[in-house]
Amino acid sequence: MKKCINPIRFLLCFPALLLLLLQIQGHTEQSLFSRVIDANKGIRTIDCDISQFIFHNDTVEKFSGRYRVNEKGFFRIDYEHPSRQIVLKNQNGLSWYFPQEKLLYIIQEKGPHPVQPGINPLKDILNTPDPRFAMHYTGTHMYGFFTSSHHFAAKDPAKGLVFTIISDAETLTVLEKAITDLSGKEIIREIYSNYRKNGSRYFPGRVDVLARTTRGITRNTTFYRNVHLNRNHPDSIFFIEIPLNTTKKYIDVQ
Amino acid sequence: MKLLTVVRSCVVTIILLITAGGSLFAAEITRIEIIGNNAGVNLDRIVSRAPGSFSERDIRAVGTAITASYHALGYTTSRVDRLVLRRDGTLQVYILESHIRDITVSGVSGGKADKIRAFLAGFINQVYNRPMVLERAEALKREFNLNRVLISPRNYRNSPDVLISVEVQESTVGNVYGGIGIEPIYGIVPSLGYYYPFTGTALDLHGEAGYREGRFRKVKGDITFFIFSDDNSCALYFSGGGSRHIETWEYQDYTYTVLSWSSAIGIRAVYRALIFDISLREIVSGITDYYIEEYDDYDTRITASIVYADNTDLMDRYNTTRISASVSGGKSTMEDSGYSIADLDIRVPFSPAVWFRIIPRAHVRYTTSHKRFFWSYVYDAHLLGFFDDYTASRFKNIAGIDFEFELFPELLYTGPFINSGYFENELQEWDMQTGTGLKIRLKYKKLHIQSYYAWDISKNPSKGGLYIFAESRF
Repeated sequence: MKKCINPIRFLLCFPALLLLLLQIQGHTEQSLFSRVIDANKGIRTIDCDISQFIFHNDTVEKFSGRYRVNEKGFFRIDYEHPSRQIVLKNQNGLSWYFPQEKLLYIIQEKGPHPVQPGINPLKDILNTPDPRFAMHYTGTHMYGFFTSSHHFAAKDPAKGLVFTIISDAETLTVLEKAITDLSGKEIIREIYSNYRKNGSRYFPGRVDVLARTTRGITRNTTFYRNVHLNRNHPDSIFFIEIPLNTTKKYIDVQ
Repeated sequence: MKLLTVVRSCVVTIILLITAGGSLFAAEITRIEIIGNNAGVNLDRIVSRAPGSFSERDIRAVGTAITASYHALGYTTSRVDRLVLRRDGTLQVYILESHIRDITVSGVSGGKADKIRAFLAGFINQVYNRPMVLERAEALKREFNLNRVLISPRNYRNSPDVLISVEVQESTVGNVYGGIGIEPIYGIVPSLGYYYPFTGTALDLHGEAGYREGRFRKVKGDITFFIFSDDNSCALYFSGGGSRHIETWEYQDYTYTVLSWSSAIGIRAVYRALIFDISLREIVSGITDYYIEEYDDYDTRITASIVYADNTDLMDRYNTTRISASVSGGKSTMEDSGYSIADLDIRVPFSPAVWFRIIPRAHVRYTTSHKRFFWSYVYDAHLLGFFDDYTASRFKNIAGIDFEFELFPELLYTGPFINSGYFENELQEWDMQTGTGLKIRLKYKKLHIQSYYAWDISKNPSKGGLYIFAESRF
């Protein structure tokens, strides 16, 4: 005998099923973004070579050197190009030392968040319970031709900003982060690419940051090579002895 | 950590002076009260952390998170001033919003400085917000024809508020722009333009020529005067110009010369990424060796066009999508029953990877006129790979795709391309041709060069040729 679907039962069941699906969807969205956050955690220290290209107003500046950072947020960059320079961030603050010129710039940070290069694209989200980052899953799309990606967005209508994060659907690594205004005008765009597996962690080989600044659009492209993750650095590398005859200059950074 | 107990208006408060490396401290916080959030930053998620047990570190994190929220939204000079824990368990967070109290302008004469200050006056007494100020600075640049605007917030009379220092550099000579190209129809094609914006109006002068096989096959120049609306979103313009073209009729195997003078009036409006334009143009042409020795043509043409370009939205201008469509209709001595022309141009680049860009492009042109005079060349800059062929078409459809691989970021890109044309030839028979080749794009300072080595796909690559398109704006 042919079974018929009772339309009244269907009408009753369908909204219930829809409600259930929506709840599951809401739960899945939250857990999916939590998984993205988890996937981008776990890097305690970095030791690598970097090459940075800063493009601005038709000019390009190149910097290269060795970059080390620890879990306390201390970092040290030993630049070899364009000249020998050491940038240090430790508990005493940020400083920039030019050994050949015997010149030390001490950067006085007034803000609570010091200038600090980092590699975890979701660092702000991990450290800050910021309402902006109540990210909503907006779909899974292809990123390029071969990569499936999850898209998340948060809108701040009061300030007219939209925050988007695109993560690789398989590895959950962050591929892009962007801030745009409500009309779609890009304000900041960060692109993380050339990911390689380093132990159990993925690490980008290249990070491009495009930003609108007072002086126009700047692009900062950084290549990371010879990457060693979670290697134990002695704290002593984040401190250097400065010769007594070094000239000290102070710079205020707001 | 130091704890101070202060009796103030019968309310016992404990002021937490938080210092690094303090001893352990825990407090039951019943609620978090935000005081001084006038900028409207949404702090609900932070406030909803209470009630709960808070360590010193947790309390400090509340302050840091609130300051970070402000900074992330561009209120970079505002911050949490102090945290006060009341006996009833309320954690009061005092926010110090930093207001713009004054604006100073340097780099220009007094009168203009006053105008610039007036342009920015809306910010005074507002909470300093970096993105908003930057956006206004961009508008300032356009409005006052400035080369550079540098805006720095500074402490206002040792208070937490700010004084905005605006340093500007005037563009005193307008903008000169130009380029040079090598293309198969007109040969070496230099062009030069000069754009000078006055207050509320602007003048644009443009000229170009094409030199090939020992003679100028194209010389043209025009002048356009724009009158802008108050908000710069709309312009009325008047233009006039002259040109002399030597055109080749491939099928008839002869050339004819066109000397034209034109004048036009039009309206152009900009809405977000869209540009609308409608114009009425009168063209008077003296045509030599076209059927008859001398021929005068009087052409009245109305043109409507729409352009979509998201170049103001994107920071990487090479990823700009550009779609333009136009329709013209008119009546001339040659086409006394009227004619129409439709054009469509599409360029939609996208980047599957940061080092790789794909640029699909298409071009369509159609005219109802059966006169060669109204047709356009097939093998122009839209369909590359064919040389010494002046075939013109009444209806042509061209599609292509360019691939660009990054050799050096922002500087050098290269990759293959392919383009095909499906068109009505001069015998009004449908034909299809495909060209392919290699493209190199170089951007060096203000110079932008695109070079193509292209050939007919049905022939040997050695039969190919070179196209160079270079442009610059000073």
